[in-house]
Amino acid sequence: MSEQKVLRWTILARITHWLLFLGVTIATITGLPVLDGRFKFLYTLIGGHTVREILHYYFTTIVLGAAIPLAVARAIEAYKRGEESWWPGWSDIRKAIIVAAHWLRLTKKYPEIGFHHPMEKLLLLTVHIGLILLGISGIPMALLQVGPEYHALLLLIHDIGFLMVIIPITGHFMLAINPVNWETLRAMFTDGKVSVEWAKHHHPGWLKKQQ
Amino acid sequence: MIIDLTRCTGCYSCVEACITENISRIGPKGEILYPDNVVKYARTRPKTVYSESAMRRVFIQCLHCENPPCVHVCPTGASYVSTEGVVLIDPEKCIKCKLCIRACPYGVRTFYTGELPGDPKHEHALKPFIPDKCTFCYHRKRGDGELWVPACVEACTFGARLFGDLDDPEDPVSVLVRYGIAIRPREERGTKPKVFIVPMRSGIEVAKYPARRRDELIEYNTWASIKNEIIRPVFTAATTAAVVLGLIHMIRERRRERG
Repeated sequence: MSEQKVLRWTILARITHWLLFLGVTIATITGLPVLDGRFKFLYTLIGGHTVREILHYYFTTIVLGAAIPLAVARAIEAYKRGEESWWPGWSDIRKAIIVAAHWLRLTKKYPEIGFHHPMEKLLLLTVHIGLILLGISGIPMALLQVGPEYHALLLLIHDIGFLMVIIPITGHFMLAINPVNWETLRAMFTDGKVSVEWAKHHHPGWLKKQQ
Repeated sequence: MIIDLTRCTGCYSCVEACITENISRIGPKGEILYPDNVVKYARTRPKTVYSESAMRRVFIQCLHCENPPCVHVCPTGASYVSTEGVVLIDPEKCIKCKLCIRACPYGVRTFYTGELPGDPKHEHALKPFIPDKCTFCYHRKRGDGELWVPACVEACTFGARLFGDLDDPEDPVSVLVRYGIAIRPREERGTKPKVFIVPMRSGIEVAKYPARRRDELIEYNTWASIKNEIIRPVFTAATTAAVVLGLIHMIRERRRERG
């Protein structure tokens, strides 16, 4: 008997995710050598100055720019499907504190997890703010030739934006490669569906709503 | 270095000597090759400064600042200060991000992007796609502990250029600086140039020395300090913590699933 499955990632969610993955990965590889000279090997690896500029200035702008309408469409889709909002509220902050305390073995309580993990919501918001900061600082520097009086400030905003993106994404990556989450990772690669059993274990609040 | 503009006649021997020493190349048949628009790439080049009542000539070149923004902003350490206090560029470390060019308040660094046939005359000569600037002819350093003589100083027959040791109180350069005869251009920028100017009476060569307008919302040195002292350590610590916590979580989840 085939395992019962439930749709977790719609096609729009998957395309948006992988577009963001591509843009952020290329932007990180091409931008890190400028932030920190220890990553100069990446500069050599990607083929030097011209390739770096084309990828960092143009490719990532196009790819991440293309993700914006998709993200908006995805938000509308999520609203129409009645999915749980990804915007964190006070209850999510409270839940996140309980999850952290549980992880540190300070409490046995564990909140019921909906579509999003409460910490995931906070990190998702941080990533989005970071991406906006990267865009509003990077595009004027790379493509609009703003005056030198703004340049150092834009670089600072760009660095802060990068930190806001890379730290949660590193955590996100570590969770994605965790074997307990392989099912949702596989779903992101394929048809977007996870087993009911997995959903019951990891996102019981969401599954209840689905049923 | 001191550039004594009261002695300078404007013969531009210094510019020519710099081009011959650092910019021109030797072709396969021994011919001398110059890049297009060669004076633009000379490491000391003339520029006129104005006031309401006067018009004077100055020479734009790297001022080898004690507090060099170009060195602070360089992510790879390609721009560095030598043990003698000369600001230099290591082309092997350079990733052509051009931050040094943007950060220099005096706009002295050039970036040659054209074809440049022939071989450079020495390791610090102009190279395409590497930021370029005066090195005080560092390649002339003999390594015997004695001061060398840069090509522009050697070429100046009027003694308008002096090269000396600022740490030696007896050196003529130190004496002229100590007595306030040679003055730092644009002292207010806070970069502490090690190239001093002996100006004409009006002093506009010092006060109006070409520099970018000081209207940055934050200075490059400030950004570089924040980047090096906060952003980079936070990046290293936080991403490492994310990886370590992720691995711990992975191990704990695995143990939990095994029962």
